[in-house]
Amino acid sequence: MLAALGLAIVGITGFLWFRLIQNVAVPRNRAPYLAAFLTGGVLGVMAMIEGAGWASNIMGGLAAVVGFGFPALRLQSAQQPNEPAVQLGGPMLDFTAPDETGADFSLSSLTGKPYLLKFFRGHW
Amino acid sequence: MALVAISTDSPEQIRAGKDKHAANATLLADPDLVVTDQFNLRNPRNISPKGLGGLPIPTTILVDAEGIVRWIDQTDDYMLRSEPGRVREALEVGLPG
Repeated sequence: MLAALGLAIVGITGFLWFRLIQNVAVPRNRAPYLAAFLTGGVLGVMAMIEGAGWASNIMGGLAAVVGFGFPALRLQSAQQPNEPAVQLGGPMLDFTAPDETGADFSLSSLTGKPYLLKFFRGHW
Repeated sequence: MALVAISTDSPEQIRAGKDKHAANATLLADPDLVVTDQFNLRNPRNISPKGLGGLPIPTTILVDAEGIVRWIDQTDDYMLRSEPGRVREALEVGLPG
């Protein structure tokens, strides 16, 4: 019973969370989500301690892994920003890099018009 | 507004992953993080298939027509990235008129 409840809590929280990520709408205040995950995790652990059978232990274990694992990942994701080599009000650095065809593209080719340069993590 | 997006994808990966949303952007490859390091944007704590420190911190830089940096957005959390609302706000602030 406890295990099912714990697993349901982490399942629903996880579902809501990933739906938010897909809509690029991750809320800045994640405390309610983390609290829900931890609650589910605690219920999972309690269920395993109770030892009400193998099904309960499996569900409780799953709830505990997700319930504690997600907050642990969350702690890892808060990263220290480096000091970028360019500064507000300062000149942009020029560079040359290959585009998707392999041809070289120089950032200086954009001089004379404004642009956004976005560093992102690709598709790995 | 020209958009240049650079990642550690190789040109082949860029071609494979390109979708209609990126149709107007210039997509650049930085698989060895040469440009990322030039801008000092490597995330040393990041674990990826390329090993430790193999990805950049997601960063958006707005440059005006004179080549001056007008806005730099680095999220303190890679899950947030540069949400469309924040980018639009920055365009209005960084490029008035």
